[in-house]
Amino acid sequence: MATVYLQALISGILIGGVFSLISVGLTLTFGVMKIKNFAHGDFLIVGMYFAFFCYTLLGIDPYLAAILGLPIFFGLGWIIQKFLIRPVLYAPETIKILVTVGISLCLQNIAVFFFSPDFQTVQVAYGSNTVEFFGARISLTRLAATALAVVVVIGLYQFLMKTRTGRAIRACAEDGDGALAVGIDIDRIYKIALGISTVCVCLAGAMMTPFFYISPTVGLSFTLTAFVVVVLGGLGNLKGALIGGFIIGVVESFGEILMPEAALKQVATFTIFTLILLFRPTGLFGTKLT
Amino acid sequence: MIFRRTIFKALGLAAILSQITAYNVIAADNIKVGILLPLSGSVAPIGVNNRRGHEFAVEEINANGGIKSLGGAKLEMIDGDTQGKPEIGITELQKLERKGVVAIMGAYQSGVTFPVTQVSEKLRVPFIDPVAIADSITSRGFKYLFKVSPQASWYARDQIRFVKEASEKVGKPVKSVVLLHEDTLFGKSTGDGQVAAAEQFGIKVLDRIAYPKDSADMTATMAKIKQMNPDAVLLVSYLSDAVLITKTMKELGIDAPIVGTSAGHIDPAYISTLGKDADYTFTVGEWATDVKKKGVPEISKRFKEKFGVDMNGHAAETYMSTYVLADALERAGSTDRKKLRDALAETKLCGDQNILPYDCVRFDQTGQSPEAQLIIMQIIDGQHKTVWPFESASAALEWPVPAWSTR
Repeated sequence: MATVYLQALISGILIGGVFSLISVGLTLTFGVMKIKNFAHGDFLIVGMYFAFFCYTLLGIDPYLAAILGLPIFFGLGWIIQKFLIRPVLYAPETIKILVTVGISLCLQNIAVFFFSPDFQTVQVAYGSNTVEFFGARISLTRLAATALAVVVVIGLYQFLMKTRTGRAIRACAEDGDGALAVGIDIDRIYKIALGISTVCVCLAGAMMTPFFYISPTVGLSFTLTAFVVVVLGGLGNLKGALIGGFIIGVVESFGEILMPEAALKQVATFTIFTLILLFRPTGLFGTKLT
Repeated sequence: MIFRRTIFKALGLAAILSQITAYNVIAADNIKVGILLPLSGSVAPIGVNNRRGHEFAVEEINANGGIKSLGGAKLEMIDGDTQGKPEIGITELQKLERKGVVAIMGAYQSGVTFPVTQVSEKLRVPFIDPVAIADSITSRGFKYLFKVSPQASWYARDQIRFVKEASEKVGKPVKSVVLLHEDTLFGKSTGDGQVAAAEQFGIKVLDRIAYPKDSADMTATMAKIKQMNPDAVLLVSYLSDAVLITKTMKELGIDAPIVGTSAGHIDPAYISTLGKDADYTFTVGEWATDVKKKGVPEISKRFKEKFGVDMNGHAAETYMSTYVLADALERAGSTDRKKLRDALAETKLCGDQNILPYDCVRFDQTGQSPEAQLIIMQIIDGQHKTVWPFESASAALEWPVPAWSTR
């Protein structure tokens, strides 16, 4: 039985890394623009289909495709910010929500229209390769996705702390008016922020293709998970999103085997979620709301 | 043009003459047969496909001289569209009755078939149910109802029977299984059936796990199953979960055979999505074009030519049901509904007369076809092949399946 627990821990950590990478983008846009992006999970399919077509049409490995796609992913976020989010940025909350929900529906249905609702996978030879670890198995492709998640989050953190643009992003997050007053081009910063956000989630999508399936509606459940992670970790907090992702991954994984029915695993997730919010209403790493 | 018309006329005359000489009567009135199916609405594509089987059989029967005991009368299909709704099904059925149909066939969905047969029974119209499977349909002691399709609970029964027979055939009888199903009504009710069937056939159920649909990861669950080391894993899954579970089983090296219950595992996308990893998966099915029964290759070829799609289980069942009706009309020698009902009750279409994967279509006291059964298909080289029942199999089954590490 010990192996089963070890396996649950490992697979929880590995899927948790994916949750983190998806959630980091969401928390960034929330922190900077106070946008609740309900289309966030759906950007996953952009990365997925990109990797899929690179592989099936051009024979490009999904990991290489993930890197090649970076400018496209970033540009997509930039354009969506410029033409869709920017016009409603100062509109009432409901309008902003409707716009992001609209983007979500568009992405899904564009995918259905062009790529059919059928399921696809990227069938790479190494897709199911594993290594033994004390009787449990570690999937190498999942490990790669998780490692990348950690690297990206650390890199992003350094970027925000050390670079001029990063400091400008943080300034916008802290006080938009103040940032404007000291001469920061906040429109540009917002475009960069959504660009980075889509890059993170698209990267996650591309990195998932070797071990997951692709379908137009795959993003839905991940949007919900990402929101849970972001609130759990503290809204707008990068470290919170990183650690929150791992917590949700591990709790779900243990929930599967410890709850009386595997179908109840989300009860475990939301119990932990509620407990954390009960004792820390602003999330694990959240600062006090004023 | 004129030339062509003359030819048609000549052909028509020849046809009539041949009728007269053969049966010595003038062609009788058409026999109206009610077809009650969802032909519009969200399930219309399935309804339309069901109708193809009827149409195909009616054409064959008419081309072969119609109902001979009724002077070569031709069958004529009268459509009723249920739109997939019970209340509309009932009004459509009443309309068909007023139009004077001898019998009605339909209505694909169990939820529609159940209430409409209540009405057909009251109106004393023979009703043949080719496809709807719910056990409750034949539980009411009806006299005018004849159900060709297997019972819903037989999916689980035949799945367990197959596991037992297949493993015993190779001398490695299965002792234990794990049941893994999605947690909505479909999964749960099939799971209940599997538990009952496993008990009946003396197979131990190590665990029964319900999981939520569209999970992001199921590794922990699969690790638990690996620990239990079952001789087979029986699944009820939609496509997304079926794909994820198979991938996870490969990752964890779980070598027990995967036995699916139709749904995700019978979907052609399961094969296209998983590629070689889909091989050796078993699934329950109703019928397939490779079922080893006489005439099946030829029938399915002509079907494909006519409609451009492969004949599937539903179409085979509606096709066969139409022959059941024609056979009863032939024996009754009358279009009287009561006489037709009595003839239907005496139905016995066996061996080569039956394209479904069992010996005889006949009806018991409740109106159920008692020999009806499912088939099991295995994916071999990227194609679903019928492997059970053994007498209808088109390929030898692979049991146990090769370990993931050796594939």
